[in-house]
This record gives sequence, C-alpha cells and structure tokens, in this order.
Amino acid sequence: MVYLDYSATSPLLPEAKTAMLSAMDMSGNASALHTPGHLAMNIIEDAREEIAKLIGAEPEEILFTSGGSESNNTVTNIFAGKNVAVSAIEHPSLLESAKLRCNTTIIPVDKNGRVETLNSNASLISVMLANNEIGTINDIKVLAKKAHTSGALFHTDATQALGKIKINVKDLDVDYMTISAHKIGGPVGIGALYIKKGTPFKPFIIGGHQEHGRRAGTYQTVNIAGFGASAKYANDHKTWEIYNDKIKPLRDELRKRILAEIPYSSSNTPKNHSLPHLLNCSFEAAEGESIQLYLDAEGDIIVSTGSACASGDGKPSHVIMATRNDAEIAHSSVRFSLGLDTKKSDIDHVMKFLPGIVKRLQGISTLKAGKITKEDSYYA
Amino acid sequence: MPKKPSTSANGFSAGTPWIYSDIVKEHFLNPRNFLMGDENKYQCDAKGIVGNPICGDQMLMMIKVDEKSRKITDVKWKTYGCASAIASTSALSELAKERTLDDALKITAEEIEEYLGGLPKHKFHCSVLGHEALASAIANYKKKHPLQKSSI
Repeated sequence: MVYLDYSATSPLLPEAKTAMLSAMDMSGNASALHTPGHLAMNIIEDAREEIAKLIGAEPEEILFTSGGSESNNTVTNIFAGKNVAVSAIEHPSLLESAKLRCNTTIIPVDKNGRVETLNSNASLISVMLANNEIGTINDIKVLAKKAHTSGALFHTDATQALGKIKINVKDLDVDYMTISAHKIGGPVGIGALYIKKGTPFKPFIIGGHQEHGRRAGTYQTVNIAGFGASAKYANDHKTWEIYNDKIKPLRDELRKRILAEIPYSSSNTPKNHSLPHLLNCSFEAAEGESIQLYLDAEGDIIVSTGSACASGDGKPSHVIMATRNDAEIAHSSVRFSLGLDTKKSDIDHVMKFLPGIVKRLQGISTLKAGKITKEDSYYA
Repeated sequence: MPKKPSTSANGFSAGTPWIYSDIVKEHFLNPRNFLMGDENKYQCDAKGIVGNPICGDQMLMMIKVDEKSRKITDVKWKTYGCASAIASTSALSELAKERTLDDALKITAEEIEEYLGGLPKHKFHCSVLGHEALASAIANYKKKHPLQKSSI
C-alpha cells in the first residue's frame, strides 16, 4: 500500500506504542496522591515537557485536551459573545465554533490561502499556521504582531504544522496554539492547547480540578504517554529537517510530474509558503472522490479528497472555494500528504496509475475540461 | 464477501474491505454502457441531464428507442460524480435496456440499490440522480414522439 494520507492521520510510531503499552500497566489515577498516582503523574509531566520543548513553550503553558477540535473549541469558548476575526480557511472546529459562540468576522485569504490584512476591532484573531487541505503556511509572526498592535489576542491552529516545520511560540509571539498528537505519530484522541502565561483563560470542560482547574476529566495517562513519545521522536530526530531535506523534494517532484503529465491538472498548494509534505491538486472534469476510490481500488494508493458528495447538497471544500472560488475545481481536488517513510518509488507508483484514472474520468465526464491554462498561476 | 484484512509492514491493513458491496465495486471498476469522449458523436433519440456540478455530481442519460415498440434499444451515459454515481448509473443502464419506456420509468432508485447489493445511506441520492436522468430522457423522447391518439 502507498499511504499518502498522513495529514488525515499518521501511523502510530513504535516509540509511542511502547510508551503507551507501558502506561497501560499502570493502574493509578494521576490525580491521586498515592504511589501509583504519582507514577502516572510523572509520565504525564515528562510528556508535557517534551511537548513544550517541541514548540518552545514552558511545560505549565501546555494544557492537555482530547485533540485539535477541543483545543479550538476551548479558544472560541473563552471569547464567547465577543468580537473575533478568523480566517476563511480555518478548520471547521474553529470556524463553526467561533460562528456559534462569538460575533465572528471572516478574514479573507488571497488565491494562495494567505492572510494579508487583519480586522482591527476583534478581541481575538485566529489564523492557522498551516492549512490542512492545501498546506498554505501563513506568516504568523507578522500577523500576531499586527493583532497585538490592534489590541487583539492571537490564536493559531498548528495541528498540521507540528513536526513538519520548526515552531517556536515565543518567536511567533502567539497567545494560544492548537496542536494534536496523531498528526505526528502519536495516538488519536489527545491534543493540547498552548496558553501563554498570563493570558485570559476559561475552562471549556468544567467540573474537575485537573490541569489546575483548566480542564475537567480524568487524566488520559496512556494517550498522553503516546503524545509525549511522539513529541520526543520529533525533538530527537528534528523531523522538520527531514521533511525539508527528504520529503519536500519528493512532494515537489510529484507536483512537477502531475502538472507535466496530466492534462487539465492544477495545483491548489502554493509553491512557496507551503508545508513540505502536502500537495493538493485539481483535475478538471474528474470528480475527486472517484479519483480517490480508483487510486485505492486499482493502485492501492491512499489519498483524500476535498470533494464531499455525501449528500444531495454536497458542499465543495470551503478552503478551495476561499482560494479559487470554483466549485468544480473544489470537487475535483485530491490531497496527497507524504510521511517520513515516503520514498521516490511511491511517487513513481502514483504516476503509474493517476494519469490513466484521470483521463478515463475526464472521458466519461459531463463536464468539459479546459478552464485552466498554462499561463494560470495554479499551473506554475 | 469482503477480503480479509491483513496487516502490512507499515501497520496499515492491506486489502481492507470496501465500504461498498462487491457489485458496486465491480460496476465502478468495469462500468457498463458509458460513453467515452464527445457525446455528440453518439446518435441518440433523446437525452436527459440532471444534477449540478456545483454539488459535485451530474448525470447524462442518452437513449435509443424503437419507435414502433417504444422499447429502449440502447443506453449510454456520462457522469461527473463519485463511485456510487458511476456504479448506479452503470446498473441503471443495464436495467433499462430492452424495456418499454413506461416499464423503464418504473425502475425505482430502490431497485437500482437492490441490484447493486446496497449503497451506503449517504450515497442513496446518487442512485436517485441516475433514475431522474433516465426519467428526463424518457420524458424528452415522449415529447418528441407523442403517442398517436387512439381512433376508437
């Protein structure tokens, strides 16, 4: 199998699995003052240190949550009823929870998914560090500075960026940052929220003293152990360097070959300012979900799609609508996300199957391809 | 029967069972009666197109009809759609052949689904769309070729 859906979830690292198995043998509730409780709490605090180190934070600035979605919900909940401004390409857990709870303004992005200007009367501004669908990296340092100048606090969702690029919260000067374990080889169901010391906070899950009263609920010692081990792996191996040196060239090759060998293809991922492992392309007149399933059935190639023909009113990807404003292009998109194990032969394997599949789907399509020309920047 | 999952070196299971039935998969991999390329080269008697690419799926049904018996002699289709759309249109094209127009109109989305051995719930609308495309093609044919009024 050629697995190119690491941005959806990445396989559990053996190191994480070992740490989790060992934590499973511990019986203590980490909040308890007895010995088993202390031992469990030690695992949690070790993990917290590794995770803090991975983003340049202090351990006490790390709050464990059930994942990226809870971290994002926690942030919007702090600003309930207030003015907030969030980018158009945020993850739905940020976008929808902000719209529900806050007086929300949407910050538009340019055709590459970059935020250029910020609204000034918001209490909170949220722009993701790197987008999950198209991989655009925003200049968070500049945006956080602008936000602070206007009197707003700044949150960034770094779920997809973690481990892929070097992140330092002090350098970026953000107030809140969302991260998640399973995108870096940790388990699903555990994430964290970085909360800069002294920044306003309000618990989202209440009814318990855990995490110094910041989040109720018994500590998930096993998952936290796995998260810590995956963070340690990233720290020890400097995974962001491997992604840049080894994986980005493979991503660039896939992009180059798709654009050169597949008629009516275009790239939704900007050439610069994008995650090193992610590539999102559209194949005009060929529907994304069909491409995904043919790749799966014929080539044992696993990718994801921005098309959601899940109901009669299948909505096109809000990210590609924000950058390219074309529903057909959005429904024809496929995301390839590479992992540390991806090899050149995997790229060759994709290119053995993808061109034929796209050609066939374009051939039986009711749509005519030909909107994108070679002069268009998405073809660059 | 779905293939048994086996675990490969990277921890993912290979040959994972599909969310679709084997018949859906078979029709998806080997669709029947589709038209490749320019539809204007296919001389049909009537066509119907439904769906909207904005929503992610669109279907075109083209039929040839024997005027005397009012039987569908050939069906060709094109689609911009997902696996379920491809499979259900393929199935419908098989079901509609050699039926009279009125008989073909009686083919329900449920019948297509049954023929395919079931579709995931959220994909049922794909078979409805195929059904609507055929109904539209038949309606267009009837408009062009109205039945002679009986002289009784």
